[in-house]
This record gives sequence, structure tokens and C-alpha cells, in this order.
Amino acid sequence: MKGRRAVPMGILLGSLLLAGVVLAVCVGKYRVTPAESLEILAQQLLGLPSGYPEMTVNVVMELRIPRILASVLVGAALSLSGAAYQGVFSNPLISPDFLGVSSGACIGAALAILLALPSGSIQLFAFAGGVAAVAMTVALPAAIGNRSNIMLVLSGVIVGSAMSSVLGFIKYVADPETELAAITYWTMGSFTYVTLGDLLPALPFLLPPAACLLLLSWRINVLSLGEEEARALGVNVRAVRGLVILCATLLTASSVCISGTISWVGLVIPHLGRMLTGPDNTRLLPVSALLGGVFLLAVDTLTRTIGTSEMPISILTGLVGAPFYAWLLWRQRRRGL
Amino acid sequence: MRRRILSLLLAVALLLPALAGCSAPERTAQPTATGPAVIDGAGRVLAVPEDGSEERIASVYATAVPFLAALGITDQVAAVNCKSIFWTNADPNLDAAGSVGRGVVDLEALAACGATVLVHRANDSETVEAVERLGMDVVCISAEDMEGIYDTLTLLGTYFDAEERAEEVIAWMNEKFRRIDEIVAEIPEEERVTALVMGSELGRVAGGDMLQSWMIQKAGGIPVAAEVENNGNWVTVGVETIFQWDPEFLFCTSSAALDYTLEDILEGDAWDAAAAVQEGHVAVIPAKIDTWDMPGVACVLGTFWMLRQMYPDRFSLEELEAEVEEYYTFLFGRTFAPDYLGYTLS
Repeated sequence: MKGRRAVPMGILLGSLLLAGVVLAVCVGKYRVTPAESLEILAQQLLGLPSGYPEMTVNVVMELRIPRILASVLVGAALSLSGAAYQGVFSNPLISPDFLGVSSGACIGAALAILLALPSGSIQLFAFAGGVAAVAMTVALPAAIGNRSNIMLVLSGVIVGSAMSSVLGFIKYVADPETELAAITYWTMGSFTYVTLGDLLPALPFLLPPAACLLLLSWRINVLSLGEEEARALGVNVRAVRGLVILCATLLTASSVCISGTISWVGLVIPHLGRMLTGPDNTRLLPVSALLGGVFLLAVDTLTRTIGTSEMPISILTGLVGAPFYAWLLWRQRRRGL
Repeated sequence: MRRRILSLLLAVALLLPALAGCSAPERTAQPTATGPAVIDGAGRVLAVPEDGSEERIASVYATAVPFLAALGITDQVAAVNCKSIFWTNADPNLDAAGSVGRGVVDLEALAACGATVLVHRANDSETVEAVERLGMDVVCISAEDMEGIYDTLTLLGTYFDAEERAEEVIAWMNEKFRRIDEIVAEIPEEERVTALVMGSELGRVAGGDMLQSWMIQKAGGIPVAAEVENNGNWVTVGVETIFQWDPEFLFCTSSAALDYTLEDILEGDAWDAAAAVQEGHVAVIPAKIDTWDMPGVACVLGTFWMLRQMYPDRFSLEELEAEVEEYYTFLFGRTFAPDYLGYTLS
């Protein structure tokens, strides 16, 4: 029944996302009326001359548009990878950074901030740190000779803890007035400094892995039946799981290098998606991606419009995500799920 | 067939990133100027505005505030981050100014506040680039040592058309430091004492490359942490190292909130044997709401205070009180009660 609702659900969420994007372009602390915002956007897209002050055009085109696109992309990517991980490991408690990718990315970014490297280097270091952490997590079970799922999860915990200690050390030696504040802000996630120049190079890391996961979604369904059943149905368990981990890791690492660490989205949104579509991953994955985009767009629009100064994204995602997750667990228990 | 499609997708996923790279390309070229130009604290060449007094200033960098106040250009401030209520109480312009963030810039609020230029710290290229994309100018300052303090006064004075005031402030500081030099010159080498400035935590100290160590040296003391450096940042050496150095004077910074009290040191068993504790030579640098060991003109006062602490016979309490009064009169045209600022000199 839930499965049949997936297509109208997709249309509904797509429309909601589009409406959210239009609304987000029109609101902010800088006074631009919705009509002006849309006119500026249209003029820039069509290459027409604009009679608006340079600052007004820059606010719409250089501040709002890049961060709107980034929040939608990152929200979708985190939710999609979260749903894929939860599906392939048949574990609803798994979040996209369980392999240590976020911790590794934080170390990379913190190092770049500590060394006062140019802004592009922060993203590069974050990505490299994230991928290196996942490589360590995957290498550890192989080195021990136990390639089971539980060993991979434990390896993620070990690498994540080690990375947290390294990050703690970097914070410890950082200047509390400047570098520490920047590192802390980065590790709590923000779209403040995102530019189109940051987004475009990240697209190859986001779109092909996302497409790959969507194509693999029915195989994830088979995997969730258990390894023996999956093998009996002709699925190469190791290859599919490896491919899902690779794609989901690329999505997470790319997201973290765009926005910093954003908590809860990849854990909670797939649960919300499951409420709407049921456990079928062929429907859950696209719906989770759309939901994640809508959710993070809404949160980012809130962070940049309320208060006198912008708060990091993870504060709001945590405030919303934690009680929501508790409610979900309570609801599932009541239903005996 | 499906396997082939999957393989192809995987190959594309792996190949594209390698071709595209992850980092954003370098976007901001070093600005060049054809007219009068200055070099800011980040080494960037900036064109000096035609009329700097018309510029509207925003900043989230608390260190900028004492410089803007010293130069008398707070009437140009549109938004600022004052770390202490001292500044907002002392200067109505700072009190009336808005906020565009604390430490991190809220870009849209910055665009909306009416500022034309952001005064920001030098080691934050990400913010500088983002603000410049908005079409707004940025002046970076680096004032972590005495040379940086003088450079910052000159830079902001030149940029905001307050050169005369900058020269006046620098001349005033030079005169005060000359006076300190004269007093210190009469102290024989064998009478020189050792001293250390401790930071927000026990065992965290000002290294040799920090302003506080320079102030100790200027006041005739021997900074025991001279050999320790951490890019101008506080460095944690641990309490044992401090015991090893055993400075005769232990000063605690007022530039950061302390997670310990003087009683922890003076009454703590571990500190009993320390020379500074035995002699009662442990004190917090004034003042509670206006900091005398922060980058800015106030470091003159901090140096006079250290001189008085270390060599009370050579610099009297009355002389120190006169210097404090002169400093506040020079900068603010008025004095402030010690109780209000939160210090006692005796």
C-alpha cells in the first residue's frame, strides 16, 4: 500500500522542494523583495543586464543561490547514503559517517585551518581526510582476517575514536580566539561560504554515486534478506556491498567537504522516508533523497534568517533530529515494530 | 547487461573526480592598486579610498575594537563585536553599532548593515574571499606583537583617513616606552627578575613570540618562557615545566577567562614551593573589563603595571596611577573608577 503511494509522494516532495527553493531565494536578512529576487535570478540566468545595485545582485546570486543548491544537494546526499547504509547493513542505527568519514574529514579541514591554507585547501584536505579514514576502516577487518559486517562496524568505531582524539589534539593546540572558533564552526556544519565554484567540482563525486545507489536499490533489497538468501538469488554479496559502501562514502565525504559535518540528517531522514514508503529500497532511496533536500534547505533557510548571527547547521538539525528520532522509536515500539 | 551498466557507472564515478579534482580553483587574485595603496596584515595590496572617513566599517574580530577606538573612528562603525562591555559603555558609537556575528561573519547580515568595508583577522582567507565576492572591501589586520600593533595603527589610520591620529597615538606609545626604557636602563643586571604570564588554564603560558613576553622584557624582567614558541599562540607546557622554570613573578592574563583562581595557586599545596608563591608575587594583570595585556594601546599600561610589580622601588604607585589616568584621558577624554574597571593597583 505504502509502495503504491511512492510516485505521488515523489511528485509531492518534488513540488515541495521546488516551492522551498523559490521561497529560500526570496527570504533573508538583506532586504530584497521576492519579486526582485526572482527578477534578478531570471536576469542572470538569461544573461540580461540588471538595474539593481551590485550588492543586491551579489546577495541573491553569490550568497543565496549557491547555498540553496548546496543545502539541497548535501541533504539529499546524506539521506541517500544513510538509507543505503541502513539497507545494506540491515541496521537502522547506522548513520552515513559510521565508517569514520566525518571524523577524518574534520581532521583534514582542521589541519588546513590550523596551517592557514587557502580556502579551497580546506575542502581538499577534508575530502582526503574522509577517504583516508574510510580506507583505514575497511583495511582493519581485512588485516585482522574477519570481514564480517559487525567487524566493519567495530572498525568504524575504532577509527572514529582515534580520529576524534587527533581532532581533539588539533583543537588543543589551536588559537582559541581564531582557529579554534573556525574549526568548531566547521565541524558543526555551515553553508555560509559555499560558492558555485565549490559545488561544481564536487558534482562528479555526488551525481554518479547517487545514480549508482538508485540503480542498486533493488539489490540492496535482496541483501536485506540476508547473505545466504541473497547468494541463492544470484547476487554477488561482496561486490554489491562494496559498491554501495564506495558510493555512499563518496556521497558523504563530498557532502562533508562542502558543508562540514552535519549531524542527524543521514540517520533520521531515512526513518522518515521508511514511514512514508515502507522498507522497499527502490522507493525509499529516492524519497529519502528528496526529503533530505527539503529538510536541509528548510534548516539552512532558518539558520540564515533567524537571530543576529548565523548559527551552525548541526545545532538546528540536532534540536530537530534528536526528539524526532526519539518519537520515531516510541512510535515503532507502540506499533510493535 | 546490468553488470556492464553498473561497471560503466562505477568507472565514471571513479574517473570523473580524478579529472575534475575536488578543490575549488583559486578565485581571488592579489588586488592591485593604481593610486595610493597600503599593504594589509595579510600582505594584500589595497587601494586607499578617496575619502576614508566616508567608509562604513564592520568587524567580527574583537581585536579590531581597541584600534578603531584609539584612532577615533568609531563613528564610522556600522557593526562590531565587542568582547567586553567596557567598549560599549565607554563609546556610544560602539554601543549603537549592530552585529554581524561573533568571530564568524554572517554574510547576509553584513550586506544588510550598510558597511562598505570589513576589518578582519589576517589568517582567514575563506571569509575574505566570501566578502569580496559580495563586492565589499576587506582590510586584514595582524596585531599579535608590537610590530603588528604599530603596523595596524598605521594601516587603519591610512585607510580610514585618520593618519594624523595614528601618528599621534604611535608617538604617545613611543614616548611611554622610552620612559620605561629609561627606568629599566638603571636596573642592574643582577637585580633583574624572572617572570611568566599564564593563560586561561594552569600550565598554559605566553611563549616567547607573544606580546605578554615582550611586555615582561620591556619592563625589565626576564621572560622564562622566551624559548617556547607557538606561532604567537598560548602554549601548554604544564605545571611541572613552570616549577622547573620557577619564575619569581607569575602574572595571569586578563585577556581570557581563567579556569582557575589566584587562590588555587596561592593556597594550593602543589604550588607551595614555587618562588612566586612564597614571595606572594602572583597577580592577575588588570583589568577585569578592560584588558591591559591585549594587542592595542593598552599594552603600554600593562607594561607599566609589570614594571611596578617587578621593581616597586623604581616605579612608584603614584607614578603608575598617573599613567593610568593619562592613558584613559588620552584615549577617551575621561577616566574610569578602578572599581568599575575591576582592578586595584596597591
